[in-house]
Amino acid sequence: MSRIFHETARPYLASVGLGLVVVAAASIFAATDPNQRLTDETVVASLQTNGKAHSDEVKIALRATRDKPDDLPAAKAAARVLIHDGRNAGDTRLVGAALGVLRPFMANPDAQVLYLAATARQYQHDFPGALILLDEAILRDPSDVNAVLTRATVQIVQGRFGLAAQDCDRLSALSRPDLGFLCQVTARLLTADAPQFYDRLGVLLAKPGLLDPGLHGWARGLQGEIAALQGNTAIAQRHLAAVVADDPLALRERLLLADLLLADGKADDVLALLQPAIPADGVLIRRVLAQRALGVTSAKQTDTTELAKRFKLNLDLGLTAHAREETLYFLHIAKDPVLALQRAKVNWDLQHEIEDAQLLIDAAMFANQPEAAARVLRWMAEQSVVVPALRIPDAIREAAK
Amino acid sequence: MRVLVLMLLLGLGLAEAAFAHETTRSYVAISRDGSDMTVDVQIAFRDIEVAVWLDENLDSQITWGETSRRIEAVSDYMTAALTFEANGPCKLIRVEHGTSQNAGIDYLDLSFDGICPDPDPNSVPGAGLRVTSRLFAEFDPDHRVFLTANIGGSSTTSLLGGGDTSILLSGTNIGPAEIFSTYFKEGVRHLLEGADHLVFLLLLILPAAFAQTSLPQAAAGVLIAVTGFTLAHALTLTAAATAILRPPSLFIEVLIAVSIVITAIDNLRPFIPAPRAAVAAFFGLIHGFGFATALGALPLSGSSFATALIGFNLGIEAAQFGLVVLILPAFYVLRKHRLFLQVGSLGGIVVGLFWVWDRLAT
Repeated sequence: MSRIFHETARPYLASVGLGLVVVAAASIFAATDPNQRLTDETVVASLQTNGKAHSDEVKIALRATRDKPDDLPAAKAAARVLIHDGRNAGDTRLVGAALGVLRPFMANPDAQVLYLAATARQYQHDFPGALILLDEAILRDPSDVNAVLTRATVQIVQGRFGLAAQDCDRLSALSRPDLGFLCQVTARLLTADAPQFYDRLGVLLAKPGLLDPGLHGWARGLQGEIAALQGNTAIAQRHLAAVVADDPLALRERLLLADLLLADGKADDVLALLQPAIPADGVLIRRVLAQRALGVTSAKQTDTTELAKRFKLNLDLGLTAHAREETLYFLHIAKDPVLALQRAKVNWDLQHEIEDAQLLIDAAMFANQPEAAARVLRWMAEQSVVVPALRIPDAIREAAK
Repeated sequence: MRVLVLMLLLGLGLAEAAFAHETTRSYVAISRDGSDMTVDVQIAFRDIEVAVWLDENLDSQITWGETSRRIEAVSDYMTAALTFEANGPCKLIRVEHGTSQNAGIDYLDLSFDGICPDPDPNSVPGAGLRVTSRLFAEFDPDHRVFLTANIGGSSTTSLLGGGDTSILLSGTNIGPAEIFSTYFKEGVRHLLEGADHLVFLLLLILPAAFAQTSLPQAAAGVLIAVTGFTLAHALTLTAAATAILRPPSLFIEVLIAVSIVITAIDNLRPFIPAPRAAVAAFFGLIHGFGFATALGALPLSGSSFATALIGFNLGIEAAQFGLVVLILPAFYVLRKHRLFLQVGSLGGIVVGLFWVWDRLAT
């Protein structure tokens, strides 16, 4: 018995002994507080975004603000470059850094400071906060074209087309008829007027000198959107592909094109289209849907896991900024009708673009609660929305009566 | 309770930050007993840089020297954005600062002593502490602050941010049973969802299960190996959670993957001149540090921390035990098919090497 015990216990005792020796050695090594081993040169944090350091433009701009903390033009220049780089990289924190640069001037801001802060807020999907700042900016400088255009954009995103059209008129009155026209088209994209704008955009694009070359991408994108909303998908794909070819950072157009290609069953094309895009939620979702269509399993699982992590965290933290992508995920990937409808409602409270309307309709049907989407139809009636491509089941129409 | 679970998930890195809308968060731990109050704050360097720049040479790397030179500015920002009231405003005095890492994010740790006005003699001791946080809210509306308070021996956890910027703490929310239960479940979940720990455990018990012996002898062999693993990782889990030892998480993650490769090779061609229990114990030390990532991030204190630590440890042990009970009979049935042992171990080598590469690349 004692021999058996001895043989059984020996490896057990050896393991504990070795463990204790290693722990003791490690404890001696770590006996001093790690922070006491820090020297001035010890790197304690990396601030790189997606493995990249700041661009040279950001460095120069930030250095200027630090050298002269009271220099308002330097702060504005830094805010502009931070917002620009942050948007292109899909980095909310970099955009938020613009607010940090502007902070010393927010106690007594001028119109441009308010506009820049509003732009950052808009990017962070804080639309009410952005509107407050923009109202104030336009009050202080009614001729600020950028502020007026941004306010019109926020109104459009929130589905208040009448208010947006007023700002578009204001742009035309500010000697920017080209901007005013494109703004009007955007504001009336979902109305019965949209088809007539398609040809007018074509004329503008065809005749040199009528449209600032910097606005060609916007105009072509609008043509693509009009065609898509009217159900002319082949034409829409052509326009959107041209926009993406000219501007690889045009994420909205890239995603719209991906949706059209997915609907056409061109999953291979979707993967190729999204390959160079930043891995934003909308990109990952469409990639997963394309991979599913192709039966690819390994990569699909990686993206799905990443999306599941992101969206669970959003829900747990009570975040709402990405409710559109969350709805898409719960509707088409996780296939959870309760969460899909919940997020679709949250999203509808945040924004009223046509994608949001379709999502709430689809989520309501998926959850077998057509009455939940009745408010989409009420909004459509209020704002005179006419979109042939919008899929509205009879059950939703019945529920809205 | 939901907030407590969420904090745990974040600490475990299961709810890691997301590209394009990378969420930011800070951790605040308050301990108050009578008029004595301490406040420990963990704020991400990436967030501080936006509010109070530290990176002097703009090389996207922050050194300890750069941090030390701007620590007063950081403290000033902190005490303005994070305020406490108990019978009037409390004053925070910084006592020390250091650094830490949680789920791959670098944090600056600040410790403050809090001095609040003398309490009303008729009030409940330690009750009625209002905490208001505007930390980073002006730069990022999605910033959230996880607040843990231990007031008069009772723990509460809260989430501040968005529309909820303020909370009145009375310190009567979560009892030890709930803390134990939460962390026990998280211990179970962490083992079951931690693929690397599972693979290691399976590789560890494979040879004993495939030894040409009786079931009781096989079970004893497995039991000895798992016990060695358990005791060792309990030691380092405790050491790391109590901050006695804090090795870099990446280093540990890579070593865990290496432990899988070595154990799998040893299954195929035994080359380690030590009993299996010793091997298990040795690598158990490394896995313990992996388990500890979660608890090390939690700003619980005192008896709440001890309760959480015990619960988490026992949760891991319970999951291990359950797994062995389920798997061992299956292995035993297959024991005559040595190919199974070889294929399983080869698979372990491949997976372990992949993790080594993946973690080093990350």
